[in-house]
Amino acid sequence: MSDQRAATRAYGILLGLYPSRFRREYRADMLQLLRDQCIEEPAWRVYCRAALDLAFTIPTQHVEAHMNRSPKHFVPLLYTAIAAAGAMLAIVGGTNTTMLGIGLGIAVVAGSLGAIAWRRAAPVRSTAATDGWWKLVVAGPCIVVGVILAAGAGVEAWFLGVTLVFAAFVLTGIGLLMGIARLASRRSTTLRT
Amino acid sequence: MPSKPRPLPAASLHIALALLDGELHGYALMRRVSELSDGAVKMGAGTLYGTLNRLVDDGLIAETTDRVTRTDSERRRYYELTPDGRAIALDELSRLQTLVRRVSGRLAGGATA
Repeated sequence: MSDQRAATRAYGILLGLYPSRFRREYRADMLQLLRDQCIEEPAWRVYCRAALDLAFTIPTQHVEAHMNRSPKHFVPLLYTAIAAAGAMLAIVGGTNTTMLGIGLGIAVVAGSLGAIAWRRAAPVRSTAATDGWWKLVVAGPCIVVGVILAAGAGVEAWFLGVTLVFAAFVLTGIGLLMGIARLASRRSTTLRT
Repeated sequence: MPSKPRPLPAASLHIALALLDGELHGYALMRRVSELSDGAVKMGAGTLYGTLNRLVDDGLIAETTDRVTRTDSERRRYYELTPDGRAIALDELSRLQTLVRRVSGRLAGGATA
């Protein structure tokens, strides 16, 4: 119960990221809606759905605060650009472990959100793409094992090895997030507003 | 010649159709949309209130005062279709019915390919 209270408090803090007018108008209602949902559904499912909803509607509301209508592809493009910036940071700062970690983290999270956002923006949604989430999860460790075996066999290709390990992290991260998103939104449809 | 109104986006359409029965507050509206779609459509709070905000701005729905006295002092805001919103929702309903009737007619006529 205290976990739920903490999650609700965290959600309340995240609502502060909406534009001020929207926040003033709807913050209390959104918190009440979350509490109402938690009464009827497992809390983890409600919070997963709420987290994805926040990730996509916060940028949308900021764009709408300056325009009449939200451009359909703004959110997917935004997350793709952030993922690309994260990947660049990881590649440029590859020798620095902290920079590599931060870059990889940004690339994996933003890349996953971008992939989900592109899928949401599509007029027709197919579940086929996310059905194969486990393949991405398995592909990552397979690539890492391949790199380790190659290194063990004496192959000296440092840059290629780092790039492949980076790709493995990205694939596994995307696969895991796709799996979580699929589980959280099972039998549910996200709508273009 | 006035141009035909563009079809409502999916979330706006679901909300407008759900409000045809009468005024609802946020959570009841979310449940009604879910119920109308056999649980296939579940909106998050951001999507729901973002869409409501846009529909209010467009003059298709209006916020009504609290109609239910609650003992726990929680305020619930209710939303209802404006006359324009109701007309558009009914137009959309008619458009969808026509679409379904035409497609069903073609399928029944053997044009299944």
